[in-house]
Amino acid sequence: MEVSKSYLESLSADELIKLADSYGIDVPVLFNRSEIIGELLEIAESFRTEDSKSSFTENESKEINAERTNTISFKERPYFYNRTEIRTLARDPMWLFVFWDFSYADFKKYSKKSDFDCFFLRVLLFKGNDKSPSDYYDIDVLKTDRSRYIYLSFDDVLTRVDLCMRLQNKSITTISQSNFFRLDRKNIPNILCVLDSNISMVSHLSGLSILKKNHFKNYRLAFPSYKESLK
Amino acid sequence: MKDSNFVFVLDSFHPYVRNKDEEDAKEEEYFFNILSYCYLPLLEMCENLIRNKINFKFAVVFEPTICEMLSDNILRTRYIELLKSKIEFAKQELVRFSDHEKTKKLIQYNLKLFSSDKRFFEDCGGDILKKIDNLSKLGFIEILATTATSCFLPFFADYETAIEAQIEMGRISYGNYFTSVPSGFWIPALAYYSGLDKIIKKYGYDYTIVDSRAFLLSDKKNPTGIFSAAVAENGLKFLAVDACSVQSVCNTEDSFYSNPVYMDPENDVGFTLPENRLKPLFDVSKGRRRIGFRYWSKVSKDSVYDIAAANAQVIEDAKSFVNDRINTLDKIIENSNCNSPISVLTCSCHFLGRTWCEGISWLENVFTNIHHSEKIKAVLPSEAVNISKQLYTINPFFSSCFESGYAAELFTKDSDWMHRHVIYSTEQMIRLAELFKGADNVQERLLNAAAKEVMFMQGFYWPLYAAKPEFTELTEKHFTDYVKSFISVYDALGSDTPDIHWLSRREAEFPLFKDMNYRLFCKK
Repeated sequence: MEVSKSYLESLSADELIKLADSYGIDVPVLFNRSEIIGELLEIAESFRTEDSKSSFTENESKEINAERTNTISFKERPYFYNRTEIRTLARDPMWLFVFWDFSYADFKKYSKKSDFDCFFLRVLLFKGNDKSPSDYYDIDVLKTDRSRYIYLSFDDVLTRVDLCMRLQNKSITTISQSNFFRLDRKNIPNILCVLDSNISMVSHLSGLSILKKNHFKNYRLAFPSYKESLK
Repeated sequence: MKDSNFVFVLDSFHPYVRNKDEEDAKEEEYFFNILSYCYLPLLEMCENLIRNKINFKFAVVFEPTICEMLSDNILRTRYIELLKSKIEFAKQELVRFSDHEKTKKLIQYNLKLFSSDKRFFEDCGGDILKKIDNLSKLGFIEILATTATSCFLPFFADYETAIEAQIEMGRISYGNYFTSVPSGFWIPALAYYSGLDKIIKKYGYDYTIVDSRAFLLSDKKNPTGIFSAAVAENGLKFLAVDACSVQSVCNTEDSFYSNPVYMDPENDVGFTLPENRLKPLFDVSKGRRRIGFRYWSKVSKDSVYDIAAANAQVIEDAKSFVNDRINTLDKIIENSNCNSPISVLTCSCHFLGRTWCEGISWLENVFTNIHHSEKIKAVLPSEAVNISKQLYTINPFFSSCFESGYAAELFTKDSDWMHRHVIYSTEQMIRLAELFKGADNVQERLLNAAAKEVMFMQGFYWPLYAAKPEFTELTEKHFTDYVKSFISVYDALGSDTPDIHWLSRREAEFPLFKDMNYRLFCKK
């Protein structure tokens, strides 16, 4: 199927519905144009992937991959800023988005070591204003990884993520340290883990019930484990 | 006695989309739609209310990029031409459907909107910001200040200099368009983090607005919940949005807006008519788009829009909304020591009038009902924060007005790659500002260009819209362009090989923020 986004966007609603029907896409009563276009493009992409496995010579595939790499390279090029750094951003109170980069020289220096084992993220948890972490845990990452979402618990207040390297003899090198992220998450279960009958009229009218539902919908795994810890 | 208070804030944010060379660019159309469905009908609403001697007050926020686009002569001319072509199209449709009374009525309904928009736009000389400013001087509207571009401020918590640069540039832009001195500061997306109050207060603002969860999840509970203002330790006052009020209006289900009798803005003839009929309006090969001729309700794609039924529903919904607010605020008076509770409703320019086609008409009816009510009055946010003399001190929680309440909408597989570029470029810009404090003329131009690119990049609309299939390509194209341009400037400064032709072209392509001074990114 030869389709492009611009072609699909030029089709009328009826033409789009006919095309979607022919590919077995279920078109809802309240027709959403963007969603149908998205699904058709996904089907087209899957056909292209299948075709390319059989139709192209090795050299042609290399050329196509090179062209595609150029197209996507801006999003995914490693060593783009040639800096070794790690940073965190809060997606929400429970999830941090961690991203890191290596300079070309550093990446070579670390990953080409004969006894190199892996890179990993060390998530350090601090209590209050202590300079020493009270706890930590490690997350192994692939050489090609450059970002990860990490989950924090309600007890974590101050967090830092270090980019580290482990050798086969288990020795560890800290390559870079992120910014600190501070948030007192205990407010969430303290305030939301209450029965509706225990919510004051003012809190209820302020939207606390709506907030409870929203948090349960997005973080439902969090509440039971916190309640377990209270027992 | 009117003890209860209603605050309405209209938030306007939009990326800069003027295309100097290409007419009929799709991204300009989105901006023109906001003019047609929100701003111009809103100003007409104000005229109607004044003419009918109805008291009303509300607040608006204009992102400076929108101010720049509203003042741009090229865009003004293109907008008038677009309206003319739509009016001409409608007249042809009327001839075509001369024997179909129902369809004729709907065409006339849409034609009336565009004719009214054209008349209003031409009457004010295309300068709608001046109209807004005049209404502000008369006390009907309060204009809040905001950042230069709509950035998600919690992402820059470690770069206070960058936040200060955004706030300062936003304030400079405000002064270019409005005569009042703003007392209120609008945080883009109401994205608050602990510590932001210190920066906002530093710039002399009296108050800001936060999402309801900022109050509800704070360390100390405000005894009156979200229904009265609170204050930070440094004296910055907060108003919190009434989540129940927002949900009752804007939710996709079980809200006033979701009523199936209302017009379906997605079911537009721009997506259904054959190419030859649409040719006078736009080039279909560039992608179909809404043209504002919509004849169907949300019941189904074939269900004809009933104008009378929708108008009757608008009146009923406005009455219900005001009664709901009165009932809620009465309960607050009975159950707390708050004698003058406040309910704050915020809507964006993308929702009111554009997503909810009847939204402006609903708002007009809301103000009319409030005017005639004995229990509630409309107030400006600057009046609302000063109702109570004693305010409870709180430290608002990290939150935003996005549906997730935080930033989940900005982290998808289509958008999370963008954040590293924004953060790294911001860091680089702060370094450049420190390094080149005494820049010469050409260096200064380059640095100012770099500062602009960083501020454009910082807009949250790029990761937000990247997740929507119809915008993914456009947002990637624009965002990538800003990053590459910043890198070009950075390299040119580093190698001392400025490309003056490129710089002049870039300055002509982005003539906004003429007062930009890269030294805003210097540490203070």
